[in-house]
Amino acid sequence: MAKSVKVHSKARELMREYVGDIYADVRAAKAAGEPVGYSTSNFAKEIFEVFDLKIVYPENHAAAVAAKKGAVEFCEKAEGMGYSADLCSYARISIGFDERDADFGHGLDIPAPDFLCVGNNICSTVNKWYENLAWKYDIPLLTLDVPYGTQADYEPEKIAYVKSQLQGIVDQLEQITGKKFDYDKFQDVLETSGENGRLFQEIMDLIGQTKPSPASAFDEYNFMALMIIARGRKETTEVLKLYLEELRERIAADETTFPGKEEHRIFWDGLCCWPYLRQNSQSLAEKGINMVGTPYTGDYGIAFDDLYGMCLNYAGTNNAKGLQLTLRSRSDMIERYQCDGILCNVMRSCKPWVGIMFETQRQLAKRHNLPYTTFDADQADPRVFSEAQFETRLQGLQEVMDARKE
Amino acid sequence: MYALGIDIGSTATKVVIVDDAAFVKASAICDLGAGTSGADKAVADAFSQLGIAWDDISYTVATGYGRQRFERANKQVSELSCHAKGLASQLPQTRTIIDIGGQDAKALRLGPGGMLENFVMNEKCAAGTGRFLDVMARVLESDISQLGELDAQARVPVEISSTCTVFAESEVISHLAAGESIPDIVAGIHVSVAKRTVGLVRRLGAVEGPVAMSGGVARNAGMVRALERELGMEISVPPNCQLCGALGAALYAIERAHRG
Repeated sequence: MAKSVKVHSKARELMREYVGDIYADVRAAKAAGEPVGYSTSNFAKEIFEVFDLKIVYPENHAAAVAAKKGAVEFCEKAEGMGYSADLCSYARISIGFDERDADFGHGLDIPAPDFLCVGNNICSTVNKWYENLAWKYDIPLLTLDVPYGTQADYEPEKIAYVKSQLQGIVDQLEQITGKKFDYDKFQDVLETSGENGRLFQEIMDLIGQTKPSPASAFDEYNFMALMIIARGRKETTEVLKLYLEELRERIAADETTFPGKEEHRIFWDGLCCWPYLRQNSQSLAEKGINMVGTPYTGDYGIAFDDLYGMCLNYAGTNNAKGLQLTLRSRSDMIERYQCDGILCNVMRSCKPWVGIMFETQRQLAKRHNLPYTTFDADQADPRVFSEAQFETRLQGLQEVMDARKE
Repeated sequence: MYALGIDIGSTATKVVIVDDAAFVKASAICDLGAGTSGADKAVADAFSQLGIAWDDISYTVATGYGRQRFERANKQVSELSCHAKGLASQLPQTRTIIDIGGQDAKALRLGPGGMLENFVMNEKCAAGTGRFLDVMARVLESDISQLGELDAQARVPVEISSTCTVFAESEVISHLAAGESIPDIVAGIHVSVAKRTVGLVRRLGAVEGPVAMSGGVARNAGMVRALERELGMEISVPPNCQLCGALGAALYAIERAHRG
């Protein structure tokens, strides 16, 4: 059994520094009169790096605001403006934040956008959310249309269609920035982004495949932030390599940062529950349950070395995949990470994910003969979480896993 | 020496005391749930039946919504496992359990020997739980304990289409205003809850029999009949079905006590 340790992670410290710098850079760019964009998390972000554009990723930003206990204020503000409480909480937080009366602090104050980039590979709510912003600020809205993956394999013509849109996006960004696109630099960024995907996958595999794990997949959420907002940068490579080194050192020393005794390993479907991240992770640890894999972070571990590969990556995000592709990726993770159970966050405001969740779990549970349970919550809105419900269901899952081991 | 199981639910507290041989020696139900004096009152009632005190209890297991806050407990076990154990001790062949409590509904699948294999629970909404029936009984100016009897007098159950407690309450009021009979409305309410509950049960996969029901709502024969019709299977209800969780907790407690 690995020894549980508390460590000061240099990688984590460096990651926080870079994330802070990125938000500061956005504010500085706006102050200097440079165009600032808002983008969805899985847009073809590599293009931004070539133009040296400063971008805010509102989902990442909303998650950070939620983790800093700011969600209710901004959700209520958006709801007061007429947005439904059933609308994506990331959207509500972002819309409410945009109308804030005072600075929020925590290094998270962001300027208004000058252009918008939306990829419908994460959901279709983003189309309306960003359209509203485009009307509000009278600014350009660039769209990357990603066809839904309905078959068991990716269809080359669909990937080619995604690829075919990139030149148009480049042309529009040339107009917005007044800069010419540097194709050589694009190749470099592509390679860096691909390498970061490979490194991130290696991190997930070290956490998932090592038994007992040197960490918990909750730690992956920290580094996922960089994969969202700085996937194509060398700084991200540096942080990921450093973290990999830390993980390897821990494995060699038979140590873990998981603060419990790893009795069970589970797969967590759905996004995490940002406002209750600490409560959730502590509760799991107290019960000896380590979350070793989740498709949320799994979105960012795809390596590629060319443009087609990049497009394939963006066509393979969680909510762009139909049942067969979803089952394939989750099944692979459950098997390789030797999971004993499945826990599902039934996110009230993420309909695309939850829409497929129950059938996915039913089939996964059958295929792998695993117990699973669900709890009702959300990714960012804390008002729909019940600690008592979470505790009962998690304890129930623990008891079923215990009984199966006896 | 005795062991004690206490099930502190959202609307009632149940206590079972067993002896060394796991025989039930005392039990009590108090219609006060978590956060109230219900736990103290139910324990005092059970103690008085045997003339004993806490010193005579070797091990205590708490379950139910209020389990974490019961300081006398040696261990907390979820109500899922406790209901499974309690019910399986009475009806050992049971493979599927339906439990409708005050604020949740659950379906449990048991393996051989009564082992809890998997479970599903309702969503956060209280529709289809005991609370739903409480609200409807109030609107009908009936006592919850009368619902089974009223259901038996129904001729054509009305349709209650809304699953939301608040909207369903409005529907019931509309049926009353339209002159529908109370038995027909009660039966309609039971059908509505049964459809929702059976939908939950089917999420466990193919329903394996024998099926049994535990929890306070199982005392409502009308509800059990509606579930049987909807499921197309017979449902057994053990005596003292409301005590199943506490009984399971007490059985866990005596096992722990023997293990030392």
